[in-house]
Amino acid sequence: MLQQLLNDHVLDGKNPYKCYDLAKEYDRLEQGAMAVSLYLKAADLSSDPELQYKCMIGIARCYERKENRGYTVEGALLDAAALLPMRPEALYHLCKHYELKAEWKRCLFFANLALQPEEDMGENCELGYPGWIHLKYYQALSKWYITGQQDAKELLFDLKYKHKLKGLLKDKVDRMIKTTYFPTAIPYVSNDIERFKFPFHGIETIPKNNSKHFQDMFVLSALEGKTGGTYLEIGSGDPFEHSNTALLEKFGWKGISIDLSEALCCKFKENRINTVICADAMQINYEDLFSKHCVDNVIDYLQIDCDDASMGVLHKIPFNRYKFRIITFEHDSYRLGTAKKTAAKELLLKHGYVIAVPDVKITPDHPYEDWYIHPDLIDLPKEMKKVKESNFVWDYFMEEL
Amino acid sequence: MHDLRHHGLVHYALKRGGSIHPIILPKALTGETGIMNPSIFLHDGRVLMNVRHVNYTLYHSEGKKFPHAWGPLQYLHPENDISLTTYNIMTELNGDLEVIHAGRIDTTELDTKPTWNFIGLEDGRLFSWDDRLFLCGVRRDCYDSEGKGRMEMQEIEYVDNRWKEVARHPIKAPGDDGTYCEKNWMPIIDMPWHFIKWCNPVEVVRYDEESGDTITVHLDESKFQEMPRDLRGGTQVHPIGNGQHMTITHEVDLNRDVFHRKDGHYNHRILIWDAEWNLIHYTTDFHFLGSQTDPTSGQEYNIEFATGMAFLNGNVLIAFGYQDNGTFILKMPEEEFFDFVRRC
Repeated sequence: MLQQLLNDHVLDGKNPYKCYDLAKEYDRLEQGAMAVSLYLKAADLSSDPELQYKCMIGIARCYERKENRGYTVEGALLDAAALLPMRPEALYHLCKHYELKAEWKRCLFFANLALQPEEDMGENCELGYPGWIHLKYYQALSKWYITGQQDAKELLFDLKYKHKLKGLLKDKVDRMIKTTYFPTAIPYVSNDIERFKFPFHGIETIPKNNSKHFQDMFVLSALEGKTGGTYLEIGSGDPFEHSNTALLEKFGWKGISIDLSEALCCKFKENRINTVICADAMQINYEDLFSKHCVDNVIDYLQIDCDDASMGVLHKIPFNRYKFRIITFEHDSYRLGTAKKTAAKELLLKHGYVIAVPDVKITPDHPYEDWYIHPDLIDLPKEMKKVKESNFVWDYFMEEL
Repeated sequence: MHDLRHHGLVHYALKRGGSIHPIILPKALTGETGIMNPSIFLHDGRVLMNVRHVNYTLYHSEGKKFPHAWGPLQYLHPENDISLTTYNIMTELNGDLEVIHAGRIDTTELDTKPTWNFIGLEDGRLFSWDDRLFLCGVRRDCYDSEGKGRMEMQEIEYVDNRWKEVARHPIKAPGDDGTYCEKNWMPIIDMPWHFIKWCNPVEVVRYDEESGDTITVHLDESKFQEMPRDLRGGTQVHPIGNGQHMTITHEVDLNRDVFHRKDGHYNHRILIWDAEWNLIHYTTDFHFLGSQTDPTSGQEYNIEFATGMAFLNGNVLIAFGYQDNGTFILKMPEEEFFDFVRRC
């Protein structure tokens, strides 16, 4: 093979394509120095930007295999990128180069540039380009090292859970997630609809939910997309960010939200339709509240998320007069131990509730809530009845890839 | 006449029954940096060849379309290492000129701490005198800190399944030994301890192993001929009958691009001397694998260097380096080769 290509090159010495073929063969044989000379010769002989582009990437990859030639690698890749700036291969190699040098702003710049085209061009083995997903990795990685913020965690989460990763990339993403940790929230977005295990009427209207970990999607799934439902939300927080009831409100639900923060309650009043009460949830007489607001004795959804006060609030709910179809209760057992979880369970089981989803986890290792239903009031769809001992929310709601 | 300028001697040879043989050395031995300036020699029925291995990979944009940021011709060694280090790899070739054994010459017993950053014996020509095998090249790492260079004969032996340097013979320049750098002396195969130190006019010197001195044994300044460039040493000098000797020399145009960054162009030429060391014939200058030409100035650019030649079974074998990065052997029927020499 080499001999034939060499003869072809010698006999047609000004033909850049034959020169390139010979360069590739030297490259394949791990004869990097000679490959560099031939790639460069082919690039110089040619006036075809596509061939020159391939040559400059070839040169960069040969120098990359040697130690400490970073400046040259970068230069050859920039030459390639200048030839065909919309092609991803050179940009990918630049990302890789800057990753090694921990130059994250450059890495992000070239990753974002390469991800500009809407279409994924697919991998290109000849140029050592493994495909678009690797650019997404560099985007996430560099964002993380630049800001250390949630958006980077979300990108890494998306990579791990929304793409079928293989080999080295899978290992790298897993390692990074161990470093960055999971994002604060794991949202449902409309692109996930095909994988969503418990679709319900109206799900197609949801571009993105609001809950941190699918609580609103659980309620709507369990009640099959019910409109005009009712809720009591204790510890409502921000009216939209991580709210368990904002999406329900869009489905025509009515309800009362309670929070201690004046600022968040003001924001709630300005931006939401339903009622918010700014008060200490421990100081409220819930029977009076329900009767004042003419609340029916069956309420669709109760949220209790009051950190350390959650258990105390649970005791104040008049379960003997009011029933809830669904309750989400935060026990944070991953950091507080199981005492709170156990006490809540005892109380709720006594009032006829059963755990529909125990130990809801915010990562594969961190349980923080139990989700209950009242079996007299709700019959879960068949698929939702398959209860496991613990449930990472993503795996609970999403089909495997 | 064949367009040597355009195509090169290898193209010429391939059209006339010749062949080109790439030398492939394992990555484990070279780290994929340059292998170049090979010197081929027949010894005890074996085809041996020394290959110079360096710690850099030459970047040469002959066509100037993709120069390195530092210029079109750059020696790219590790960015944290300013030394230019040479290792010598001895190879044995089979009848098809394929490498059947390759190993770095072990010099550790005689190495000293370098005093300059060009390290190792460079461009070693392989030959045998008095049944002793030598590499003769230039060493610049032991005389001072400013790059003084002297020719050195490195005596090598194959012991314990490896090539080993067993002695070093530094060679003084003739006269007061006051020059800055001596290089490219060509050993005369059939005249032990004699070299052609310079080609125009020819200067033959003799090295005395006992005293370590070098004396000029032939030099006639009146024989100087006007040539386009200096004729620098290339391969060994071979007897070709009738007291005549033949060698391949090289010539260099060192020039600058528009930004005054260095570039280079190498040519070769075949020379024949008679028994009295009169230069009786020289060929036109030629390349091996061709060059690229600046269309505006006609200036050519390439880097090639032949440092070994042998005659085997009716063929001439010329070993040459290309762009300091690759090593090749051109095999050419003797008849065609001498026809080329005669006509060009």
